[in-house]
Amino acid sequence: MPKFELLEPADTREALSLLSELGERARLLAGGTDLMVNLRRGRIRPEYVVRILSKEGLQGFSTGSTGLRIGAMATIREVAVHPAIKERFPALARAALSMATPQVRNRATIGGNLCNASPAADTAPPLLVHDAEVDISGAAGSRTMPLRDFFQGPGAAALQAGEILTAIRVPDPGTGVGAAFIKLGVRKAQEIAIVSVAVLLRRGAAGQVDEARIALGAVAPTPLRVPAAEDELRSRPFSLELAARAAGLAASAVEPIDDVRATAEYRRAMAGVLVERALVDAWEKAAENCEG
Amino acid sequence: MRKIALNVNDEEYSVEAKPHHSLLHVLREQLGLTGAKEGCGEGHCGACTVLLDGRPVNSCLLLAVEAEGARVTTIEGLAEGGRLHPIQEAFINQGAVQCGYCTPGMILSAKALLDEIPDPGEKEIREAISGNLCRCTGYVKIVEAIRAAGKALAATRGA
Ligand SMILES: Cc1cc2nc3c(=O)[nH]c(=O)nc-3n(C[C@H](O)[C@H](O)[C@H](O)COP(=O)(O)OP(=O)(O)OC[C@H]3O[C@@H](n4cnc5c(N)ncnc54)[C@H](O)[C@@H]3O)c2cc1C
Ligand code: FES
Ligand code: FES
Repeated sequence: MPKFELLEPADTREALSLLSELGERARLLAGGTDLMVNLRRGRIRPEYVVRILSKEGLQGFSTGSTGLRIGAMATIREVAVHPAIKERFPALARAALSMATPQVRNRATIGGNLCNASPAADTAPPLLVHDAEVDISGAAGSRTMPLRDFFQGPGAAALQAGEILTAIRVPDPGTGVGAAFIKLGVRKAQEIAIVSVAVLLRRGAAGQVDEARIALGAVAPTPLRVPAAEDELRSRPFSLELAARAAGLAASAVEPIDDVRATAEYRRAMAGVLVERALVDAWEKAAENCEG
Repeated sequence: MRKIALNVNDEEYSVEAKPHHSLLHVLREQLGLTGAKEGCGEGHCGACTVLLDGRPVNSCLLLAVEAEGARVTTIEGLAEGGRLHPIQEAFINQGAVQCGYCTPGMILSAKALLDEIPDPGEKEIREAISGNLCRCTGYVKIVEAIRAAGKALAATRGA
């Protein structure tokens, strides 16, 4: 492991002042599952690694009237098994469970997954379809932004040097909503997605689609929503033909690349297949979640 | 250098370690506990698996300082009073060990599983060892060993 100096501020406040002072020379350590690999491979060479001793305010879950707040340093395992997430946000629980290995999930954090800003970050698509927001703190103050605006490119999150992602806020989905997550990998365990898809649908009283949100991972420079496909679904009565049409629009909206895992062509084709499948799945779940 | 207080296998250690050293490095090079192995050093193979407060982690991805305040369990901590742990026994009896490189990590992942789910099915077992690669056995005997260990543990608990 390459050398760095370890700084151990007592809490978030102290960390923020250290990080703002050191700027690009320092890196925050969360679960370390991306950071340690990147350090080891020499992809990054920070002089300082910052480890916050008291993670108060950065961990844990709280449910309020408006939704769920997830501390940025909650582990992927905690997200996968949390009862409120399994019940209200099953697509997110599923994405967390599909990630990496048990060992990695015990350390990796949800905030680290987002800040690392991989196009294939597994927690991104489900959070995007839930219209999640992120709380960001810097030495100068705090701000909240839609997760949609947080991803700016491969490895590039909308964080200024010295800023910390403190929490993720997920609004309560309400009734009549169904969500699904499907991930395609080369093998089942510890596989970075070739394509991942999350879908959220709200079912109207007359069997029409009241709300539709579709997000994809690993098929563009960032995880992304596909508005053209969503618009196609909204206000229309759900049918398999409609799902297929929307899936086709989603497939033409993505910008995949060739890499060792798959070709761009395969990714685009599978994006369509998975969106269609996820739409059908989400619609069925929405029916189960309708009141009465 | 930084002083690090570690609790490993219920023993307290105080070591002077470099802050950028991994827990794996400190276990092997400073505490002489060589059961955890370095395979890939990147979280893929699981040869470095140890338990942190009972849960499996990759000690190659963990700074030693991060283990402060937690209970670390390595394969050396499983036998009691010179008697192998039932999971170790089962691995031997079922022929689940060939070269042995993956075995310490595999057994610790199995222990974490059996502590949580005493009678796991094949799917749960395969999921629990999905972060441990074995080049030799083809996994079938490992899965059998873990299932047998679960039964043996249940029997001792029942007795
Ligand atoms: C074997 C293996 C398999 C993997 N499989 C998957 C997979 O299937 N799917 C997947 O999506 N990922 C996978 N990953 C990647 C990784 O585990 C995840 O991205 C993880 O969620 C990163 O979180 P972390 O807490 O470990 O981040 P760290 O490594 O601690 O940090 C990552 C980066 O984000 C920054 N950062 C972290 N937290 C914050 C914060 N709160 N505020 C500001 N900056 C922050 C750090 O400074 C660093 O630059 C895998 C990794 C390994 C080693
Ligand atoms: S050496 Fe740690 S996972 Fe391979
Ligand atoms: S027994 Fe050789 S790697 Fe598993």
